[in-house]
Amino acid sequence: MLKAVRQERGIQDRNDGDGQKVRKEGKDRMKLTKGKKIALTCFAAFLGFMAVCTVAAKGIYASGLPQVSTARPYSGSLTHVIKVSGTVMQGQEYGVYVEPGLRVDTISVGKGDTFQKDAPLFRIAPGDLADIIAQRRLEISKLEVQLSEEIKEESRERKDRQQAAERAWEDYDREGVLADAKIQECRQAYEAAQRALVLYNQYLENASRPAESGEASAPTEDSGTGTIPPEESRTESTPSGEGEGESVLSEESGTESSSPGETGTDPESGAGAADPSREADVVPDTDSSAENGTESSVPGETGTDPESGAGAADPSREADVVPDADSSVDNKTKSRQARNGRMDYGGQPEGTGTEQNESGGENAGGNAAESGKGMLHEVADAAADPEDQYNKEEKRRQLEQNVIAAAQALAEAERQKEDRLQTAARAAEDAEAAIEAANAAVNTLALEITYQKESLQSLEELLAADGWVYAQAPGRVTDSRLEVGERTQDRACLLYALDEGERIISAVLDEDQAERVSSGTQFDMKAAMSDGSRITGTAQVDYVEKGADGMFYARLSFDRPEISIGQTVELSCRMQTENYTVCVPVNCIYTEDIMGAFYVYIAEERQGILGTEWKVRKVFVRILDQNDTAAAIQSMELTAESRIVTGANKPLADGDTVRIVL
Amino acid sequence: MYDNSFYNGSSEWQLTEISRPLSGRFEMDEIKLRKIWHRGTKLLQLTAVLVLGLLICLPVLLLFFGSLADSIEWTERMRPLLGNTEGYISWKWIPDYPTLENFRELLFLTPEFLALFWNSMKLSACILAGQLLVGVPSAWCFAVYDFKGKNILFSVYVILMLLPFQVTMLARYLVLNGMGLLDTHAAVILPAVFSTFPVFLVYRGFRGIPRELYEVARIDGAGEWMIFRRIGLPLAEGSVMAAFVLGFFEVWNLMEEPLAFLKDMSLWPLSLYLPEIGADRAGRACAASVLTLAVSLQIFGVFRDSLEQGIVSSALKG
Repeated sequence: MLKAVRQERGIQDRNDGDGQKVRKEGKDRMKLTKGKKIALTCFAAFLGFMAVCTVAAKGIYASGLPQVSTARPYSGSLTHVIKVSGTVMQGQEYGVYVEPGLRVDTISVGKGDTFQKDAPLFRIAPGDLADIIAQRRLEISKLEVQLSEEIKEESRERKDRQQAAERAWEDYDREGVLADAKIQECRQAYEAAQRALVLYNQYLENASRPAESGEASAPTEDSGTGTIPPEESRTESTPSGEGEGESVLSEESGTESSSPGETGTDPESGAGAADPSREADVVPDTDSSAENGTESSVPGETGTDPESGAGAADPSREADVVPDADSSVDNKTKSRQARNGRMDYGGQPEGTGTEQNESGGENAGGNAAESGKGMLHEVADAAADPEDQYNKEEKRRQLEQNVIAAAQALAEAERQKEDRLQTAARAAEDAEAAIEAANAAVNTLALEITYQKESLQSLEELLAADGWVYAQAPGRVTDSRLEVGERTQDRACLLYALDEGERIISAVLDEDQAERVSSGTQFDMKAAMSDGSRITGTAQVDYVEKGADGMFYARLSFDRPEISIGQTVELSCRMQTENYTVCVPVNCIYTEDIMGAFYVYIAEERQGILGTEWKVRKVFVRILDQNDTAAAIQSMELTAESRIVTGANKPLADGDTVRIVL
Repeated sequence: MYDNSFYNGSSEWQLTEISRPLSGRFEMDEIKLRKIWHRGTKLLQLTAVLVLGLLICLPVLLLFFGSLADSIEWTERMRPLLGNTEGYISWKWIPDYPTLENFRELLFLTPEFLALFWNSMKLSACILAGQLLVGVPSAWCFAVYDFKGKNILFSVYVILMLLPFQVTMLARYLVLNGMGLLDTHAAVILPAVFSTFPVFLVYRGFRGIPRELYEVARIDGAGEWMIFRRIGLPLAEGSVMAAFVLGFFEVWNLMEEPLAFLKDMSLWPLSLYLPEIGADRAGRACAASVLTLAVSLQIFGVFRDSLEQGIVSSALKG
């Protein structure tokens, strides 16, 4: 079988002269085998070389890997220990004051020196002090002279003001009298107008009655008042006239109340007499009757209430007494005529003095009678022409308008009286008030003199002490603002603290410490005494303020009185912060120099060609708080399972492969 | 006059004379001309083959010389390509500053390359061993024994051999996922072990053995295993080695299966390492390519004769 295989494979056994060929073929075969062997050997060597390179490469790679230690973040709070040194200082300072401008001669104490009560502190130059005292006295004298002059001036002005006030009151009285006279005049004119109207109406009635009875009762002079019937008939007919008068003036709410001065007339002396009762009937006043009683037309009455008198002028009544728009009667002309005597309403001429008012009642009545007579003549003349009915009516209208005008004049007079009295009263009051006006210059001078005297007294006391200023209480000088030869200024010359006074601790804090310390923070205090012992206590922060140099100064109060001023104490405080979610050792945090951001490296498993490896990744964080050992950070990428690189033996970069050392 | 010359396998043309009477001097010149013609043709053919061969080898030469150039020279020459600048790239066959720096970095500072190299070696060894154990006996069965459905089954084998990877990838993925073999080397090894190409190749070799030999051996009392081991394998050695070598080349250059079935980069073969190298390290890429090619060249060098013989025996019928 093997032979068959050999034949099939073309291998011939040659025993003849082809042995060389056999050997050649054998050699060839041997040659191929050798070549194959060499190739195989090379391939094996190549594989061996690759294996060696594999080991070497891995070794070199591993040796180049940074070895890091990691830690997991934890949640907790941070502890801050604040340790500062403080100095015990005085809590309160007191000042030594003297008059400004005094020359300092001697200074006995300096900053930090202690003194007892009544110890000399510094001395003012006596000579200079005496000069200042003399100068001060001279100033006081000047002020006193000035004050006396001011007082004299003040008394003279006061007399002038008093006089002015008296005159003002006199003016007030005079105004009242004049106003009353005017009112009286107007009232009389009004009554006369009323009377004329009444008479004319009676005439007209009588004129129409002769047609029936044949009697013509023309007014004659004999009767004095032709149309003025005797007192009885006049009284009877009065209601009609009064009624008419009332029809015209019924709306008047006049306050023409009779005053004693007015009612001095005799009712029988003349129709023009001002009859208070009749006036009251003619002009009924239902609104202001209460005001009437105080109308003042009595001369010489001072102090009366002008408003009540002026109340006679009622604006509403004035508004009612409005002249007829159709009237063409010129009131001024009428009044002028009245003054000329043709239509004498019995009013007195203006400017009638006070004396006339006193007897005005009687004179007014006489004048009214005369004017009534004149008017009757006119009426009789008019009645002589019975055919002119139009003229009669026109005449009657004219008389009515006269009545209205007189009423208006009366109201106007009363209103003017009120205004004038008010003005005069105010002027009088102002003049009275000015009497008591104080002179500010006098008071000022008086105060100045008082002050200067007090200052002089203190200077004299200082001179009596030979210029020495003594301590009021034992203490220690904290600041001296005096210089020999210089003058004192308007501030404390020396500042001192009492030995037994309040003491505080002053400590300097940096910005980070100042952020954590606030009012009420408790510090543990330790102090070394002079005898070598150490005492402990507590100090509490009163306040923290920022100084001009940017540092923060804390003031603390403490409870150990044996510690003296100037002593240094050690203050410490442990503060626990709130709970933070992620806290890491502070050496985990790196800073990016360019942007100033903080970051940490976290190690994460990654699958690579070489299998599972640890790679670091840079994660930016925000530092919430930190102390010397730990930091509270915040980052969205950190979890409780994150492995944060806490240390490495080589610089790390983002994406580096590392070996974690447990 | 000459008969048709034939190639007797020794690169020599053998002329056979036909008995004809010579025509004298003219015939002598004609013979010389024919000799010259043949030599010229031979020279031309040789030149063409050399040129063609050189063209085919150019990429390999470029890789080799490129692996000797440092990064500076690479950057300078390849700037228009790597730096996206204007102009054309330039190249020199022999670098101005040749260096072994790339090989040094690759072999001693890049453990990833070596890790993937051994992955490729492992895959190749396992797959080839499996193919020898599974494919060769299968080919023997197809070649020696007649059984029902043999032709159909063989046809199926041929069809499977013709199907590209993309067609069967999904089915393979589902099967491997169901078996829990994804992301393991078995996902690449097992399908390759049961590849049909070695069966086809060795089958042709076994078919070239005369049946009489089997019958003689049976008559002599040899069992089937003895026949397979002492007759079949030696006589089909060429085919087997050809299948081995071709299988190695296929496995050494595997890319699709590892890329599809292996997610863990630590399991990747060397063929997937080269794309990981960036364009800024072209020298190292060339060095890695050279080393990768070196293994294939060595295998080829060891088994070239067997490969040639196997190919020939597979091509020739009986």
